[in-house]
Amino acid sequence: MKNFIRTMMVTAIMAIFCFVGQAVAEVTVASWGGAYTMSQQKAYGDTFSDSPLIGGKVNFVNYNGGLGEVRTQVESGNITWDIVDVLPSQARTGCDEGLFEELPRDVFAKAPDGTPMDEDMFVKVPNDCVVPQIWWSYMAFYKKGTFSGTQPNTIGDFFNVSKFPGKRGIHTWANALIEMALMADGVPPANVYKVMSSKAGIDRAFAKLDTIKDHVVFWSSGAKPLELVTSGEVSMALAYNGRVGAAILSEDAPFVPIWDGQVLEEEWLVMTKGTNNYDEALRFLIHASAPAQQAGQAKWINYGPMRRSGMAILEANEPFFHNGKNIMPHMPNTDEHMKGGLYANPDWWADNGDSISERFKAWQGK
Amino acid sequence: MTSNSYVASQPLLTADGIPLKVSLQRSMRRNKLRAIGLVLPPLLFLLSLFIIPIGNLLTRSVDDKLINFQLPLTFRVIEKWDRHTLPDEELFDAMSFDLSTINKLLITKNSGTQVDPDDPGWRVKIPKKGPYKEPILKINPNWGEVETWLPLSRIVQNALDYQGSKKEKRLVEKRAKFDICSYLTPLKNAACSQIFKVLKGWDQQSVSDEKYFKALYKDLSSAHKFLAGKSSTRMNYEKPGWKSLIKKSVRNIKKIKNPPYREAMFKIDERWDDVTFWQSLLVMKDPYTSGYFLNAFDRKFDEGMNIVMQPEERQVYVMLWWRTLLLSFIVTIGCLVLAYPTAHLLATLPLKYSNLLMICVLMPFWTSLLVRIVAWMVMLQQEGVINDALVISGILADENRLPMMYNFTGTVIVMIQILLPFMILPIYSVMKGIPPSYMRAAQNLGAKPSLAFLKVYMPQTLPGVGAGVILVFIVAIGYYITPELVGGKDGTLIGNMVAYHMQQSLNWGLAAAMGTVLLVAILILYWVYDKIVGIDNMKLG
Repeated sequence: MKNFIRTMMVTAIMAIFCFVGQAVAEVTVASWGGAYTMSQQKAYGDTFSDSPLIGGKVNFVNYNGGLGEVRTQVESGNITWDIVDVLPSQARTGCDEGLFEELPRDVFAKAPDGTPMDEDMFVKVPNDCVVPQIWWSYMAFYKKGTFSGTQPNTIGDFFNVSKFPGKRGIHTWANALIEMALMADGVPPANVYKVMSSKAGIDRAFAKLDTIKDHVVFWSSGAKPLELVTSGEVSMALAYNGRVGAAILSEDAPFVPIWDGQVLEEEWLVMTKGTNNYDEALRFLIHASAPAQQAGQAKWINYGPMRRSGMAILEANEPFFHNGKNIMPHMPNTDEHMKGGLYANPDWWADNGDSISERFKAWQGK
Repeated sequence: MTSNSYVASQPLLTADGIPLKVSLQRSMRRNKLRAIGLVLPPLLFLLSLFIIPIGNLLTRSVDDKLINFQLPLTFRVIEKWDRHTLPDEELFDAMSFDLSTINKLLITKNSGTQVDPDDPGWRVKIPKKGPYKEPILKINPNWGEVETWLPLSRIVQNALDYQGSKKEKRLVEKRAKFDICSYLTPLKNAACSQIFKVLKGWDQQSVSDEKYFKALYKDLSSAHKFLAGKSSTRMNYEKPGWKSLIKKSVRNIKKIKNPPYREAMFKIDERWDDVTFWQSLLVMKDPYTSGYFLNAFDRKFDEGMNIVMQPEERQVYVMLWWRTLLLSFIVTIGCLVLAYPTAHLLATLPLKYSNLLMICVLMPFWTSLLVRIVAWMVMLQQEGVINDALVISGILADENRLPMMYNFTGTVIVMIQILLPFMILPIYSVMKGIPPSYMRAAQNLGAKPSLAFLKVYMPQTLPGVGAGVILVFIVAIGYYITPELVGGKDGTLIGNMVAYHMQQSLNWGLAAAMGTVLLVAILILYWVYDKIVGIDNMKLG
């Protein structure tokens, strides 16, 4: 009897091990959470798993930005994030330092007219590690009914606490704030980076930031500014445009976006170096960067696809949003919305980001 | 005349004939060994999973060797420079070699003062398309010896000998490729796959074939790219602009065919003409630096290696240190003031009520930290519960709502509530052990209740108070979550800056330096506490 039990247990344990060994390889994607990750899940993750040709499980985890954890994982050899959704400066720094895999550029899906991926984009690919994701922007917004009389509609109004009273919600890092402060101070968008390259320009930006200093509430996660504006803690806030748009489109939230002064940023997907799921992750990246999926994400959130062919699909198929509304009026990188805005310069931030951030932290503290 | 005192004429013996002294010593040693044996597992656990990894990370606070790997020739030649005028051709020459060639990874004497600038190995040019064997042997003839390649071969063999599933073998091979590169370079994330491939079938007899050298060149060239990227990030902390300068130069220096390099490098980027960039190199020369510790206190080295303050607008750390100390102090005092009466109540009430109250103390303790913080946000924010109550009841006008969230006040309030159980429990357990008869005896002897309390009761509770104070203070000083969520502008503490440098700016040297300073500060405070109150006077119950 004892022998029988023992053999049964051994068999059971062995069976469990065999089962575990056959487990389907899972691709883990680290992204920013909230409505954004939800849109990625729907546009990329679900379509990946459902596709009969590729298949595979995709698992989304949240992180708050920064390459600290990626670097730890790569240096220790214990990779848990196969793919990371990174900001432009990190896409450059990480590739330079060897934190991301360099991908073969010819495996990616071509546009319907045959253009290879690297030529089908609105910007030049900075290196071989990145796969295009979206365009997004920092933009100001407020809740309908907060202000009576004239409504704010320029970035200068965001910095004008006397005309539009109440607190301001801004993010706890310096990107886009310097540009917005200068634009609010009257610098035309085309000259902003030239002004920023001099110390006087930076001083000017911080002087403008000083005008709202006592009215500032900081946020660090994407959903927080919406919360602050809804609860009335702040009267205007800066946020990722997609979060605001998703709330307006999906939930009919009473938000009003201010397109003037928006700062457009790239977003890239990269693969962590040394990951065990290289093949599956590469298949996922090929899938996610195909024009159809790029357009597909705009069904759920109003971020612009980075590929021209993706944008073309959008324009041709309005109304595109999943609940039947038009998406083009909410796209950040249309000519109309870009009139008072600018494209961020990640190379400038790669160089000067550290010292500006330290100065910003000092400004925060005082 | 017999004496009454017993004089031992021979040593005392135990029942089995062994001298008592020896027997005693043996049993004491056995006890000691048993005690060590019991303590050893947790000690080893602590050492291997806590002290060693954290110690390793903290060594990054002084470790600056990465740049010395990247620019060995430059740092040797720069010693001759006068530091004030623009460097001459020799230094530009050295810089261009360090940036564009991989000779430093092949030559033996490639660090610190060992570097010989006149060694012809530095100037050997390895043609991009080959042949590779001759130039590499000219740089360092050791590469023609089998012994030099044996350690690499061993790594490859270990990977090939691994028994496991196909997938596992693939992963082990991948790791081995990283290991080969980390043997040859200071990088842990470069893959030397070509070397792995050629050494797979190696017979360990000779390395005369061109293919070994081709693999060596290819792998080291790609690893060199990452070395440049990593070290330029570090250089950028010292002087913003280095990152793009190095990147641009590495791309373009290969195009320079012949010396002189000076003018050619000016043409590549005008920053090479700026003497301040060269001066910043002087600060980075030493493999071990105290620069990070200086940065942690708003200071830095200037080109003469004097300690100067950072520019005014970048000074933030000293202010944060003071604020952290102040906030921890306020939180500790606040906790003490609230916890003492509570603990006294808990200790003196009959069991039925005190159990109930104890649940009130412990229940928040068991609730998730984030839930508690968010609950406070709801209570304290501008349109939150407290403000709304005050406005509705007419005490405050609508415009004068109290700002209690996302600032210093909010941080203090939330931290006091979070750290209260740490203060209540030690004091409570000490108070529980004080017999009530002491107070009655004191009052019997004529003392007023307040005098009895001060002279008799309070001194007995001091060990518990001490334990609670030290616990709360140490936790508060390193706290990071609460200031991050509710601190706003004036509630952020030094812990938030450590997190920022670990996650966002990747300046792990500075983060490690700040962590070390925190650790030393705690140890000093612990020592002071020991001198004043005495560690033996600390009781947790």
